[in-house]
Amino acid sequence: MSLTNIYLKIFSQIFVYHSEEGFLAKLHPSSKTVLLFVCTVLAILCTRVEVLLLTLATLIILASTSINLKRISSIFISLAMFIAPMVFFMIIYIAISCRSLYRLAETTLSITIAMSRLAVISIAFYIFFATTKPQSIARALNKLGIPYKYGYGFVISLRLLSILSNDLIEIMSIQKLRGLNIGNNFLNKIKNYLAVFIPLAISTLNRVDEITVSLEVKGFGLKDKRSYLYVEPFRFTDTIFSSLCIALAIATLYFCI
Amino acid sequence: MISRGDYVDSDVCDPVAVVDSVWFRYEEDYVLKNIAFEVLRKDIVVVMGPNGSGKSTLLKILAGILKPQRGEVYICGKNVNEMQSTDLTKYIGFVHQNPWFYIFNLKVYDEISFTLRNLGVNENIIAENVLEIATELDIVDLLDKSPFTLSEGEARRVVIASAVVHKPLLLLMDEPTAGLDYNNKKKFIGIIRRLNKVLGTAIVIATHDIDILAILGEAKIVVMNRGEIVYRGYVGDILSNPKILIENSLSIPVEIEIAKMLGINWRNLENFNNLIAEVGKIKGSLCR
Repeated sequence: MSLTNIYLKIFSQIFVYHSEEGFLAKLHPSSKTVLLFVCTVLAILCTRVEVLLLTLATLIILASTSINLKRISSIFISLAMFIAPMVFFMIIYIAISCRSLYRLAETTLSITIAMSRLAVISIAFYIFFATTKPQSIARALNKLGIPYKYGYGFVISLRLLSILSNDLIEIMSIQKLRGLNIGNNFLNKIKNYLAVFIPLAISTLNRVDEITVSLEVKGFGLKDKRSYLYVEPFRFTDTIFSSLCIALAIATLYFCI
Repeated sequence: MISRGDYVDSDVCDPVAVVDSVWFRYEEDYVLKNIAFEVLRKDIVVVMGPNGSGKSTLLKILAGILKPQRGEVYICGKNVNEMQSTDLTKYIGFVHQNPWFYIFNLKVYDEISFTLRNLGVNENIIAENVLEIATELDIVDLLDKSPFTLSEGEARRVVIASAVVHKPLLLLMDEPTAGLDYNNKKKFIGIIRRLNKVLGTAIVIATHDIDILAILGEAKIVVMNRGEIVYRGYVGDILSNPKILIENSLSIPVEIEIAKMLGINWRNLENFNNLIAEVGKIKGSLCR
């Protein structure tokens, strides 16, 4: 499997719900939204590397209650694969341009902070999507006042992202089996990539058409308001968890900034 | 008649493909468990099984699209995962179950000739081969059309044509008859047989279309269930002992069931039309 395929394969897993058991999976979507929001704010505002690493460690511990450790590590590996080339070139640039060791250490620290921020945000989003049912996300968005059509549209497009990356892998393999060589020349590359992107666009349009028809025949979008068969209760655990998240975030930010 | 051009690797190998104790998993559970079989040069192998039995995965592993966690796959003695993609193109033709994963050219002619062009074949030979295969598949009138205006069945025939136009040594087909009507299925099987007999192209078909068994007649069959091979033998044998088909959520072709009920020798029947003719004969003799 090529590196591109590995990236696509892991990317296809990011927005897929796959955990039905464990502490996080049983939490109300709103509690997980609070966790996601708190982590994002913390990652953006906090400048202390130890706090960011502690947040990351807490997130991993939380994730391990509902998600297989193998999956979490695969997300980390893909993140590392994405970050590694950037870090490598930045360090080389700094080593060449910086004259003092102090500047080098200072810049390395800022890179570590930036990477920790990226890791915290990525893992927080991964936890949210991996442990929350798509329908629950749509319901939560609806409760927040977003019309249900847009909520479902958002959820379907997230789901479609993983399907698209799987399709992309298959189409690339098929066209390579037909002798397609992407080549090195820029213009040839663009021309040859059409052999991949046109079938991808056509099959995606076919899928979208099927989804639209199946939604319309069920009367989706006929009324502005809708009822729900399943409603997750906001339990005591959710209240405790959300309050704890907010309190910890406020305390951290108070000492951090 | 179809003939292999000198643009295809002329190495004659037997067995064409060897699947050696292959284990494969997408996530935690293995979807293929210790799969091992050989595909000889003149073989037509039908891989049957219910949904999720691992048929498509097996075909993708044979095509080098997926790499097994354990075990190896060899095409003409070469490890499929170590082969260059251009070599794989020469050896393998692959028909995916979704025809729209192939189509991107503005003309059906260009779509069919895509592989030959990538192999650097002379335009005259391309024209000859495209016309030949288009005639066989009854799509000559489509050659100048845009493939995006085709129906699902027509698109499928175009994809089959583009997979066999370079006369590969091994043809892998994933649900190739989905979307084809009975007559086109018969035509399609006719082409498969010709490719197999004349060129010695080994063919592996993954399907749960039971009609194929009745039309194909003699071929090897591998029945899979939950990632394991539960039966291997010949189509004729499994039709005599349909218990294996039923146990694995497959049915018996309707013409064979009727033939058995009427006491007609179903091994001589090639298709439903022949059965109707046989029934007609019985009816005639009874009326007399």
